[in-house]
Amino acid sequence: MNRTHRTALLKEQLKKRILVLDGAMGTAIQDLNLTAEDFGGPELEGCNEHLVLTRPEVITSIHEAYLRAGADIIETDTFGATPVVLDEFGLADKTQRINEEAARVARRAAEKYSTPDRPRFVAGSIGPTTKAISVTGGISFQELVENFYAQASALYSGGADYFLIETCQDTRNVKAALLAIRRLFETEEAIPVAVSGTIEPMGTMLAGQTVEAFVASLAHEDLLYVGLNCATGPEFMTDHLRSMAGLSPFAVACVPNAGLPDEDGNYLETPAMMSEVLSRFIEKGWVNLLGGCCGTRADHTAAFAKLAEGKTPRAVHPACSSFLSGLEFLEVSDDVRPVLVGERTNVIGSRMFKQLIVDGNFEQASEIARSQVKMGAQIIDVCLANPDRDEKADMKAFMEILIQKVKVPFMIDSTDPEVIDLALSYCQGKSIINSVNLEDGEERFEQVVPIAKKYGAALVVGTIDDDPEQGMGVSRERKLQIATRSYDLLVNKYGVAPEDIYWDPLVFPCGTGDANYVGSAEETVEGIRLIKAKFPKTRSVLGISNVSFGLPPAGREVLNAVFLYHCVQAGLDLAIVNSQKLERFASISDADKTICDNLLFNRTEDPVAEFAAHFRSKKPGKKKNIGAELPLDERLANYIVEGSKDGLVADLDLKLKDAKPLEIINGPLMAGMDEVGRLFNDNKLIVAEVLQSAEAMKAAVAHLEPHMEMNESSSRGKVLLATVKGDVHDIGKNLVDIILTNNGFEVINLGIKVPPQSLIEAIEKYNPDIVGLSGLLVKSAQQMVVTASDFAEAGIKTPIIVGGAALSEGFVDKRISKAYATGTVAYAPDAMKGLELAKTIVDPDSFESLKSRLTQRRATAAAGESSQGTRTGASASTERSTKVDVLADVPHAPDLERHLLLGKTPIDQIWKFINPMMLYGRHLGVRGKVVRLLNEVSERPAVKKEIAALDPKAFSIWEAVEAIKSEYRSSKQMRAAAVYQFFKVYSKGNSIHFVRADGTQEAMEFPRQSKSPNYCLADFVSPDPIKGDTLGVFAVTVGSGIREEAEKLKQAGDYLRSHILQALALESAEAYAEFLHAQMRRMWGFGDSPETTMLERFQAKYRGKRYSFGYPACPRLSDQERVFALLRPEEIGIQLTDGFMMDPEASVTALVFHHPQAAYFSVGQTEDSDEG
Amino acid sequence: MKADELWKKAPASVLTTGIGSLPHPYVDAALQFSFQMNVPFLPQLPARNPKEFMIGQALDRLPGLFLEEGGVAKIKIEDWEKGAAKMRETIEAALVLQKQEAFEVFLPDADAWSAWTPFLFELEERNIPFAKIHLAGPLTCQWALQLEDGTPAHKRPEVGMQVYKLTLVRAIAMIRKLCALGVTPLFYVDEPGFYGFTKSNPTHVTGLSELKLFIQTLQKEKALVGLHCCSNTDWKAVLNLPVDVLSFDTHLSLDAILAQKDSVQTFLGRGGRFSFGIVPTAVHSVKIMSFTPELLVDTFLDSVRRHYPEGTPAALLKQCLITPACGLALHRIEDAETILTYTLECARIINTL
Repeated sequence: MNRTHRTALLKEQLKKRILVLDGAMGTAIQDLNLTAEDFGGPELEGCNEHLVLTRPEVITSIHEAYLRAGADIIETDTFGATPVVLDEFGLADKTQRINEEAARVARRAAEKYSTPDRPRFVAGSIGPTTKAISVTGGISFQELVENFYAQASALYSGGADYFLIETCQDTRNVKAALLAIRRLFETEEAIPVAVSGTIEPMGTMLAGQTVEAFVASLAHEDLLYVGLNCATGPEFMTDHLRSMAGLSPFAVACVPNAGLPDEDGNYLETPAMMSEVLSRFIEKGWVNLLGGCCGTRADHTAAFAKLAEGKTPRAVHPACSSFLSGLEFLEVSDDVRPVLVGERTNVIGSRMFKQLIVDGNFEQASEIARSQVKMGAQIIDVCLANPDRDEKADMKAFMEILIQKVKVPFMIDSTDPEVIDLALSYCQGKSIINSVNLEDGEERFEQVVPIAKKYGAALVVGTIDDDPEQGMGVSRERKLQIATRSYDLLVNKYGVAPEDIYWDPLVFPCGTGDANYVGSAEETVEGIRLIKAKFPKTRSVLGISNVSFGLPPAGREVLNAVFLYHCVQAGLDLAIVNSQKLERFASISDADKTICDNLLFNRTEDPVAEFAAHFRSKKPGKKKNIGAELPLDERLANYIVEGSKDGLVADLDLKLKDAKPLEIINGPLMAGMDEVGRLFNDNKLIVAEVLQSAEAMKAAVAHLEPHMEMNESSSRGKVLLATVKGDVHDIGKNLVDIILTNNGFEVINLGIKVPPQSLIEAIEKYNPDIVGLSGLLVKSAQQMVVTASDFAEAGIKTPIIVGGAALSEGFVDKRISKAYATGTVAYAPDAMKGLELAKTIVDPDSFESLKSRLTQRRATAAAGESSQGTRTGASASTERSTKVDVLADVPHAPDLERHLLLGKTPIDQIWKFINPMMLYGRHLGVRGKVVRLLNEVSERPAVKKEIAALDPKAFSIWEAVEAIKSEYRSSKQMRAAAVYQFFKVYSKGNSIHFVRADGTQEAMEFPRQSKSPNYCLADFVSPDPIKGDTLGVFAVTVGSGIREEAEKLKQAGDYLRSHILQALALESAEAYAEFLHAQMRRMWGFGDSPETTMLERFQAKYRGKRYSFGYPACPRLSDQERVFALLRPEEIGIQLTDGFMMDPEASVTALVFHHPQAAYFSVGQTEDSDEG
Repeated sequence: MKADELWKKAPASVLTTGIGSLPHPYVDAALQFSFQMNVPFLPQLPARNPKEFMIGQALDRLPGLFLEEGGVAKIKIEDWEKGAAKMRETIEAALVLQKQEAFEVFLPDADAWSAWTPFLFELEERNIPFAKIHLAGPLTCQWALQLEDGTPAHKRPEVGMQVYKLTLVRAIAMIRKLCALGVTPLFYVDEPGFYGFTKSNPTHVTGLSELKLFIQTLQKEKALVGLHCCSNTDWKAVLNLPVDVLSFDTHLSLDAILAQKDSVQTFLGRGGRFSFGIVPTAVHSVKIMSFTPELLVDTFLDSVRRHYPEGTPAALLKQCLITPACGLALHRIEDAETILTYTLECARIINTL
């Protein structure tokens, strides 16, 4: 069978059924544990491609295993067989041999297994090379073309049925490969070409393109199929595959990895797990080919072949809409008109940009493009046609930087075909060339259209022709006439798709007084209407600002906005504007609109003069007042009322001659403050004035305080305060400090974690009247006993006041007071009682009375105290809730008892699971429906415009979040890790018993609701100890040091970024929990359906639930210790603090239950209906 | 707008709310707690971060502020001096120039107040028209803030003034944010430092007048303003403040307050309401469990009846709020949940009276 027949057969088969590609070559080779010798020596170990020369039978056996398993297509062992990659092993000179032989080996295997009913095919695998030109650089576009040419020509010679450019990470590499193949076909019979991209977990290709943009970039080619392979398991391809299937004019392939690798590099998804997801893709009608990438083996292929058998392939439809792309996709449709084209990166239109280019400041020049995008530009016009400079060199230098900064499509604005060609070689996406016309007949079409087809670009077509009288179409009729001629040539002669034609019906200045252009604005508007009506599949574009050229600056943007409005009403699709200055039409006053309309449509006698006179601007001014002169007391009061300090001190000194400080404060000064309050209440003072009054009052008191008599300000006593050793909590102590200080005590606050010896030294140094000891933790109570005992041993007799949540009067009486035989210990249940005690102790008589009371009480208690009740809020019952069924069958958990560590989950994968309502709504304060739209941005970039219009602030927050993501994506602070394990368990009463592999058990008890439905978490686990049940436990963390990093940002005044960073970290941990929970459900065998939306996941609409300690169903935070004992989260860097908090804070632990009736509830609830 | 109008948005029954802090480390769990009250409250969660202690929260962004591990708020005076002018400028942009964007600078930061935006989100999602927010008051903040050597920072009047303005501008920003959501704010000014107020202390005297202006300003922002003081003080002076709500620990202060019969009458007469901290929070958790809601209400009512043998003024109970006595940060979560249950139960009993 010759090539022509094989190609026809391949295409026919692809139409008839879902074809199956083979599995991973690398995995199969790895499984064979080959030696260095097999590869051709130690220096070649790992060069899988070389095996076709050294061990061809091994590669044949792999091919045959896949063919036996049911593969329709096998890929040549040439993924890395471009010269540039082979050169890393010093094998570049064997490129031809390796590729040719690899194709032959595969060809032979395919032939062996082909039958008339079941032909098998060979895909010539062309990998991405090790150079993603837009990302890593290190190679020129032309060098890439040469590399791909060398590989493609050899694969062709060896007999590949089609070229498969796969694992594409950078569409510029793809374009280079396609150009190389096109060159090959100039001399050889063409065979089909397929392209398969790799969408990274961050949601784009490595070089940044979204899947839609990727498809748009390739739509001009005649491909056998496009597809997705590698990077993730099938689940995470869902959205991308859906998008690709919706947009692709070609067949679609899905070739996922066997999930994500674990810490040891093992891929975890079994054939059954992958098939479950892939079957949904088939049901949805999204695929024409299935296959497996990394981690898949022959058993996966067999499963896929079974899956594909008899199934209907996706129906392929040609594209019929206008779209462009950069890194992002942009569909130009009636829904999004007008698409804004940023005009400021144009040396003809922007003096600033021109100067930056002249200065060689390309970095700064590219910032103009970025800011245009920020302000709403969806396409960037790039023009570097400065006649005084080398346009090509400038374009090269500028594009190299620009492509790193801007994601939107580019409009390459040049008359030089070479410059256009060069610029397009930098564009991953589908750009638009500005422009071609018939000014010199067809010459420009002939020069530029082939370049457009080469790179897949759209064309701006100006309504200019070669009419010697009036080349430029000014009237509406001329515009239509030129457009009609151009359309006929471009579509019928040059093969340009109507959807790729963007008419420029030309804009002329309406305010320069040039008689030729009077009324031209209206002609342009009507010209658009006529052209769009005649050629409905085409699009239109206008350089809006031209219309206001020569008019006063104050009115230009207003006129531009009004003109734009009329053009859009007439059908304009793209508007080239200064997006940073564009006025919103809706915010223009009616008067301004009328003036503009008069000028645009030439409605008054002298609309230009009227326009200039109208746009004159004015600025308002402001003034302030001061107070008056009065007798001393009134004057003092008036200083306060007026908030004036001028002369205040002198008058206070004067008043001090006949009054005490307190009398002055409580007298005239307070009278002033009262008046301030009255005036403020009556709305006669504003807040700012009131504050001035308060400042004056403060200044007055500060001046008077040093004049107060000693007895007015002397200390009541000295108190030494400390939180005991091992405890960091001292809110209570601080309150005591505040209260004591403000009530005349001198307080020496020793801080937290103070050991007894330090206290003893401080007591000796300061000789306090009282020592105050505080502590929150249970262990602090014991520490107080130790401290008191040490005091006694040191012979200290200073009275002690103890306080803190872990103490009780009984404990103080029985334990601490006994340990402090040398002195008195009194218990202060709160700060106020502390002050009462302090006052009592410093008063000798009261102190004696206190000692007597304490002694008496303690003696009585020792003689025989009664015990206190120990009721708890939760029920003491251990009876299982009748509302929870005991499951007859419990799902099997794979990897039971296996301690699974994940350290390589890409952060972008995790971010997909961030709940936008939580991140944007609850943390960042974005409100309304825009929160939900923010979640769609990654999938529908066009939604950005909607968000920007709906809520610019929300949009700016989204941008700030994205910026933080970019900045911290690879940082150690955002490094995610997880540990999880399935345990064999059973329940008994309120406990869950964890059964270890060695038979040992550990029980964890949970509180039970005291009221119906009397839930306890143990109810969601089977009580059968023989059959047992399974329970998942996990801990996830997202990096460390976030708080410190956020603090740094905050200290630098970068509050928003600080806030976002923390919120992102916390929600990333939550997202990771959501992600892992989904994974665990799949492992249990009840994974989410493809229809399951993220929103449904966030609403826990799946089988089972996960619970974290500290929440109402299991509020005891101290039980975290049990989780740590079971799971050892320390292995992924999570530590448990004294207060049972996790460090890093962005960490989550959870118990995962599979019981379908598992519900969220509160053990302290008061209502019967607290489920869900 | 008059207070009567603002109260119309509150639920009709006896109101329940919380005071300041909760022990929960998770915002979600804390908000679940808060929103069980018929007046949801913004919780402080110091278990998450020492910055969530009341002083740290209120003074967040004050130049030179630093918090010791347990929440002691101190100020490095040289750092404050470096940043004071800029802070003054920003505060003035808000308070003097009334620039809305300047107020927004002072909205609670997630770092220091993790529940703030989630709280707002929940209010909007649940369409709740009336909620309580809480901030350490200007007096407590001024008096609690220390210089590095432990000297009270308010001894430097310019520092004290900035602290005052900062708490004011933050309070206004918070109130405006709630109002913008269509929520009527019940704003509690938390002044534990007000304990032991005496007219012989110039700091207290000026503090009282400052507090009065503070309250008036917040009322002009269309907030109902409460004063929480979980200690005994000069209640007559406090009752004369123009607050809409007076919140206190009933076990500690009910008798002392009701003893000021004339002032109480005046307070109730002008529409003031009491926020009774009926459920004790200042005792060890095991002891808490030895109470019952019924016993707590009975004890409370006995005290009231003792002061009003002729009959309890209707306004005293019909328009009251029921709360825990104080914040719950120092309790265990399960105890806090029980206190919540008791609070709701006490309110239910009082509602039936």
